Amino acid sequence: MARAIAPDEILRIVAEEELLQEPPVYGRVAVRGPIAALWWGLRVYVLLMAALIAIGFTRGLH
Amino acid sequence: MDSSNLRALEEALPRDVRQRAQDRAEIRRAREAGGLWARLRILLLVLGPGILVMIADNDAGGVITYAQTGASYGLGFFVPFLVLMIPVAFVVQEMTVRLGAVTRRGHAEMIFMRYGRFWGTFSAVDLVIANALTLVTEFIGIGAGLHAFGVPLPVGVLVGLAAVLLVTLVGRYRLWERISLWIALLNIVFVPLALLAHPDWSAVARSFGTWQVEGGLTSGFLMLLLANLGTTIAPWMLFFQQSAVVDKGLSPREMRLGRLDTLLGGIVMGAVAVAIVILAATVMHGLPGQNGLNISQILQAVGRRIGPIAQSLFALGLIEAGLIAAMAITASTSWAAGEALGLKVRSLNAKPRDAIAFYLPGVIAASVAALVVLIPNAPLGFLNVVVQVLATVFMPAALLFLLLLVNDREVMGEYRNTRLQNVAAIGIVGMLIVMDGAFGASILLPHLLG
Repeated sequence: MARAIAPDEILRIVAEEELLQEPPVYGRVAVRGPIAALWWGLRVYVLLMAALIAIGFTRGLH
Repeated sequence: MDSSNLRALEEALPRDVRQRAQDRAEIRRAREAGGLWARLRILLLVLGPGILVMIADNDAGGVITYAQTGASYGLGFFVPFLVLMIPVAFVVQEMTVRLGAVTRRGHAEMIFMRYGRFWGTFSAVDLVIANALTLVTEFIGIGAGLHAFGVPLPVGVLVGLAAVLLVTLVGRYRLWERISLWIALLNIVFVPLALLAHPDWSAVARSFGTWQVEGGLTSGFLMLLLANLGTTIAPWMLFFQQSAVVDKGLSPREMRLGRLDTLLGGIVMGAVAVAIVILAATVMHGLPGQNGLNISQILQAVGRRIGPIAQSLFALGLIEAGLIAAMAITASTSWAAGEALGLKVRSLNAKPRDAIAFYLPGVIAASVAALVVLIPNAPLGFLNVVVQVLATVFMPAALLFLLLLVNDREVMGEYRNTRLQNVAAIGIVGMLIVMDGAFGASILLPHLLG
């Protein structure tokens, strides 16, 4: 059977591995260049699929 | 400081932090012990998210898709295709391990932080809806599997729901994961079943050389090809594994083992998928009405050709497939909703009474899905189509976000994708986007495929 974990060991791990600290916060990334093109591609894809869904449903998709 | 003070300090820690620290302590002890046994113990402690996500991907819908594939197309094309899907799934899922271990944040949360509220909300809402609808198909599988043992469908579905909720609400990530892994072991039942069917192994071996498509490239073949692809990589898998890695508390130091976990899971997933195709090809291919078999027809065919015990084992595998996927998707729903809502406590280590807002989305999704299955004459086929359409719309976005995040220098630092990883990932993501788009179009406009 595994040895019980003492409170001091738990507290040491919490401190060393910064388990009480919030994970790093990342700011919003600037979307430009090829990423901006990708973004637009994604928007077009979503709109295209939305249009396909609409067409599919009007043709009695089920 | 005396021991009572230390104990008081430890007890003052939030429960999820305390539980995670206990898990980390076990890994540290094994690491300090050294030796082969200790290394094996570390591996066993780290194993979990990768194996679970891959096995849960062989869900009830997946089992039926593989069986229909084998019945319709035999051994020719799909056996080597599904083997090829193992590295594909690995490349995609491995990125979530790195992202989770480095950022200690879930996938939905990272999309919110880096790409803003619109794409964050789009991802989270789409995922929760798709998860709820996918859960419907899992409960259909559980109900159908239990029905083979004489359990009435409504009772079977409610038993399945009770099991899912019971495991989800245990209040300890490690326990939830270990119960899930034991249940997931049953997925392997399809391998001995395939052996019991006495397949033509020389035909299996030949298929790797020929990749022969029986009947040529028809629209039916393309539909099944896309359906098989869709069962290999699904949006919920990305969110699930990243959140599971975070909740388990894996650090970059365990990344190598996290990769191994994912690889092992991928191999099991591929082996089981291939076993189901071989089984179905052996017992159903070439029979009249081999195309589009439903669950009960598949079960009957297995029983007729291999025997009643094999039929029961197949039903057991179906129950397991539905159950493990339902458990994983329920957890994934809670994690994603918790991240989107910015909840402070969003861990399976939290006691349900202390984290109602975290558990509630998963519980509601599972309960609603089970109740939908019980509605007489519910349009279950239609719901299945909606699930596929949502996944189709969502998958390219989820994959693009994943690829951008693992290439983000500020986020990933030294752990960002290498050139080789990018070549593999971009190739796979590009293929998945094109094929997912084609799949969506084929569902919505079936006449496009002729």
